[in-house]
Amino acid sequence: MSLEQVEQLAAAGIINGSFYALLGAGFGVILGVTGRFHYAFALTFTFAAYVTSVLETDGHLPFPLSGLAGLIAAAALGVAIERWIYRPLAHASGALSLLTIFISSLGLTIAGVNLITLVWTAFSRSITLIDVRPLHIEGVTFTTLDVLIVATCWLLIAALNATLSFTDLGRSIRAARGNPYLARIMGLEPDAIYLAVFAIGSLLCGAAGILDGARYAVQPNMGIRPVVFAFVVAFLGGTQSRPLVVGLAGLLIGLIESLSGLFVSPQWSSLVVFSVLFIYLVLRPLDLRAFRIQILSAMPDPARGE
Amino acid sequence: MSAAAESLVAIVACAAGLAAPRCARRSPSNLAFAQDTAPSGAGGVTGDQITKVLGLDGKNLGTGMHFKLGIVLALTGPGSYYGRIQGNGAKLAVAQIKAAGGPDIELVFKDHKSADAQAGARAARELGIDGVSAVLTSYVGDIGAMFPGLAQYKMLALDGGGGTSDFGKPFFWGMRAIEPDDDFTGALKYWKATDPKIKRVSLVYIDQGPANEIVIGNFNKALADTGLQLASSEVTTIGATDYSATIARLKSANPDAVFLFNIGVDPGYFMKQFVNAGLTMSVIGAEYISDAAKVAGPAYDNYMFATDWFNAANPTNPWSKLFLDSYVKEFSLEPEINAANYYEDTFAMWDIIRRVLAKGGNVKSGEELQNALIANPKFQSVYGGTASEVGTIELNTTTHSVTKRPLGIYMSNGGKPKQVASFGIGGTDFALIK
Repeated sequence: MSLEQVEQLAAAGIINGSFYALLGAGFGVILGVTGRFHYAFALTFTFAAYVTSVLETDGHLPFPLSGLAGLIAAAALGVAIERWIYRPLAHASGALSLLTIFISSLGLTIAGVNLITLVWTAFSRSITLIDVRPLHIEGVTFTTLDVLIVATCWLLIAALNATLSFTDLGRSIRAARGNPYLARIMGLEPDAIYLAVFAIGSLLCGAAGILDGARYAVQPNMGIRPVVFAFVVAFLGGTQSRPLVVGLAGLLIGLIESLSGLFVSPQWSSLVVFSVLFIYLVLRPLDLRAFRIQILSAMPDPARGE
Repeated sequence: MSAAAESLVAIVACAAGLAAPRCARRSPSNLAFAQDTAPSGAGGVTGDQITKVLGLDGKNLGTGMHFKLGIVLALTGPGSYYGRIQGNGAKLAVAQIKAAGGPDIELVFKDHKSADAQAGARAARELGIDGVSAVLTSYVGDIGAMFPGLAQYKMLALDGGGGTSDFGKPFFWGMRAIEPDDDFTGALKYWKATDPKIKRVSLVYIDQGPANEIVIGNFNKALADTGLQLASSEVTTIGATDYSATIARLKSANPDAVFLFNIGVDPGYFMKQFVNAGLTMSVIGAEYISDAAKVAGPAYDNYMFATDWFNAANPTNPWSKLFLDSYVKEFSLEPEINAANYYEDTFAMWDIIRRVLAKGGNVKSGEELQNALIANPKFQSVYGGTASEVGTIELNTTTHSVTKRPLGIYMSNGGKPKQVASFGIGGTDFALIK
């Protein structure tokens, strides 16, 4: 193990982690607010990349326009899924809606991916964002595209954070997330808020899909693996947490995944990531809370005159 | 239920693995195949052209007979590119065989979902229950998952996607050079012959479970035979897109050259990141498909590959020329190794059928089909040969792998691969091509 290898893996971890952060923030806001286990996030991811690539390569549109169309397509798909599939299913299924929606989401993804293959074939496509050049800093190599990906991911996460914290829409979303019944009493429309949340989450997912298409390639199954990492990040960060916190969880996952390459073959990196999630989920409700209580009890309590 | 809704339900049910007989015909992957629908005109080739080029005498062709041929491919998942191309080759062959007076072959498609062992095992079972006696498989019989089913139902299987390596299982025959063993023997000889500075070589290869040790063992033996050393070995996952950790490890190992054994579009993803990481050492892979070249873009310019590749720029015999022209006409694509292999393997099945019919045997018996193969393990091929004579491949009846098949080293050359060396199975008869 050399210092250069550690640095190189850390750089890869930051790049991948930023990407996971964006996906996790998008997935987390949907899951946290609506309670929908939106597996079709993978379909949205793929669809945005395809729309962008097709318009760029076949339609000869410059990237800003094709990318914008891809983002709009992603948001529209997310909203359509919520409005015409999840909402009727949720109303019909009552307490079982989580499972019903997950199953329908899975089926929708399989059908959607196959329809994409039918329409655009299984051949790989590309997206060209910028001229990709390698950059070398102190023995660590990355590309101009990697820099763009990291910057874009954190910019979008910060924008989501700001939207939720400082806008009326954000306050409504947080209200619906905290207590949808109370939000309704206060005059808010959770159904409309859910649509907005799906639009926002799908927009972030679409951005991630476009970045992934530019970094690797656009192909029908491109969304399956990233969306699994989005689940992990959202759970690790907490579905009720602020996007920046979820983002940091994504960064952590990226670093763990990458730096595990120092100790085990890269083929086991996913196992390491899921092991971390498993350990966290097992320990969180027990030891960490107990640890916090221990710390609080050890601190001086002014109420007791300490 | 409307037709569209019914289709959607069928797509979801079949793709989710709720396999029913109708799924074989209406699976999403088969729908995906609709864009390359079975050729009716056999690519403009007449029956006479086929019988003439193959030297058939018009006897025991199986005219009017219906024959079910299973075909288990990666129709969905990251390897779906393969499935499409391999299916194209088989469909073209079926049309041409019928035009030449052969049987009416029904291709019964099954999806192993790009190396899903459960799907492969299920496909073998379904084909066996369906009474199929012969199968074209891929991914080395879905990396072995089909072997028990093939043996249980006695179905003769030809795999045009990979060799048998050390498997040699009953009813299963690998129709390609052994992947990657035969490839790296040629690659190491090429480095030895062209660049004396290359001493230490890294091996990057896909995870094949228990076969990993065989691959490493054979690679070390080939290194020792050529006087080279192992710098490092890195295992990757089939279908991986992110190679950052592997490349960081390669940078640390600092080899003089890298042999890359991954498949499908994976070499494209690897090379894109390899070049972007500023690495410049020679890389020889085990495969080339145009889709991987598209993924890699300019990063593929210096990529080389060593394999039994079908060179569409240089059809070597009259049958390969006929195949090339008809494939291009039918699919508006240049055929690749995967199309060529499943095309000639379908013809090999027809050859076996003719042999069984000539002896008055039963072609619905996989055992009789296999016996016919063992009696004469030699088939005509679109590979090799001369301007006037079709090529041949031969199989070893003990190992069930190929003993004669031309291989080459090629430079990617901007999407127009150029051959720079030739060799045979096991690295024999190595020669540089000027």
